[in-house]
Amino acid sequence: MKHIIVNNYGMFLGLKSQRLTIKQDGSIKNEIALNRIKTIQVLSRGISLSSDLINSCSQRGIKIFFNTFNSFSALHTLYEHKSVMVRKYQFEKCELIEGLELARTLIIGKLKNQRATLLYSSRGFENEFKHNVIEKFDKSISQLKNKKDISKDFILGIEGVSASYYFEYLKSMELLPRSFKYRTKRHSEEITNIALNYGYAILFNFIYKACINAGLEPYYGVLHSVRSAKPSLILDIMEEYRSFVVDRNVIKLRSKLSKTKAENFDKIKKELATNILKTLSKKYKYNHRKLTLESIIQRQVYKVSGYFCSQNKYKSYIFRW
Amino acid sequence: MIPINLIRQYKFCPRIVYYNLLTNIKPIFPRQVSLGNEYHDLQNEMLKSRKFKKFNIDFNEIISDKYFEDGDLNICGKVDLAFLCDDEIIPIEFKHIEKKPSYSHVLQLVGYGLLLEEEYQKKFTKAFIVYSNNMKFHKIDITYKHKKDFFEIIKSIEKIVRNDILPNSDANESKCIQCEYLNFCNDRF
Repeated sequence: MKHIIVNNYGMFLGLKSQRLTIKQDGSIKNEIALNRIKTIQVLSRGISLSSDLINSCSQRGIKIFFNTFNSFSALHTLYEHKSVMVRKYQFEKCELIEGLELARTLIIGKLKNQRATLLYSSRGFENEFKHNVIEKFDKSISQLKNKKDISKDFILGIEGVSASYYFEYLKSMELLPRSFKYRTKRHSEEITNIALNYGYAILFNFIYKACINAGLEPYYGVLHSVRSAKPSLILDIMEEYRSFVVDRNVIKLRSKLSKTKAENFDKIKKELATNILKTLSKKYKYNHRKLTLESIIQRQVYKVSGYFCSQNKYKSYIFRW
Repeated sequence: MIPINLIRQYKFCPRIVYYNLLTNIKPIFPRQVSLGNEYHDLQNEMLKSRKFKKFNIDFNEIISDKYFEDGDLNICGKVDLAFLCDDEIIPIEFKHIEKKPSYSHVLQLVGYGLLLEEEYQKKFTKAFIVYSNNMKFHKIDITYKHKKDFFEIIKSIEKIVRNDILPNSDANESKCIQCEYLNFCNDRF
């Protein structure tokens, strides 16, 4: 099963007898059977799609995403709207202590995965700075675990402090290009931040797809503030996977990113997207079985749904290295 | 009411039942489904000239392609063919298969048999699965276990409908790859 990412200006995606055809300058570049496609991600401007293709994709559950640096949209069939009961329980639980408990678990998972990424990417060297940062992470994790009267502000505070240690460490140990000074989420002109934002956009699409499949309301979360047009549940769930799926791949590409100017990011886009898709299609251990990371994410999201509906336990997925 | 063909689907993967009954997804079915439908149409056409001597059954009436439902059993379905005899009813199901019928095929027939049993108040002890153009068939003797398993599945399906929550599945990659709901489920391999 494939995820199609289209990046090049001027491409045309059409339909020919239940096959997706990708054309450029009038000639067919690729043909893929629709029953082998999971998602289509359009990550550039100037790409056209046929209406027949959009209709066929919606019937087959193939979601089409359009991401640019400042906008996001997704196409999927309205028939897909799953259980209303799941949403009912979600709205109820998000307002209760259970919502905060889920937020706590998600952030503990995030910190553990950030810690694993730090250890993985600096496994070749030992120094005091590394030990200090890891110690701070351990302290933050235990603070989160042991706090009795938990509040959203407390969780967000710990998360923010840890994120600053995390990026400070990556910067100091030169695991990110030298041009990286601090993390910028929007309208960045620095190549590492552009790469991170691009990677997070791909990850976002996967989490969105998983939430829609599980029948959850993507705009009603437990940690990020709830307001119209902010997909807070997706942002909440994404936290667990950011470091492993995106940051690790950006770290791997650091030397190429260092040599590339921000305006030439298009040259690296394809490699970064391919690496992220490879990570998502790689099999990892999960409950005594080997599953692709994409399926693991989907199962974890089903577990979030199970947590809301029937008070099943939710446990973050922690990556081993 | 639960359509009897969902019994087979439930045995394949319980999530298909959920998608079928509780979502409005209209999937694009794979080629084998249209082959099955074509086989059914052909058989219905050929029924007009058939004498059914091969079965060696003394029947009074033939029922073909008829819809039944029963509120007490909470099931409904279209019977492909049935022999109405003096003291029993014998349902027959056409299947586009090449090997022996699976247990889920048998349970589907049990459902049709139970519907006919209620409708005509006659006993139901055997059934046939016809699997080729020249009326080759498998005879199935219906036991208490068949009926018990059938009702257990009906209970499970009723639970899925009542809870309105996606059930667990034990389907593996070989099943999922041929499923029309794969992109809507997406966590099996």
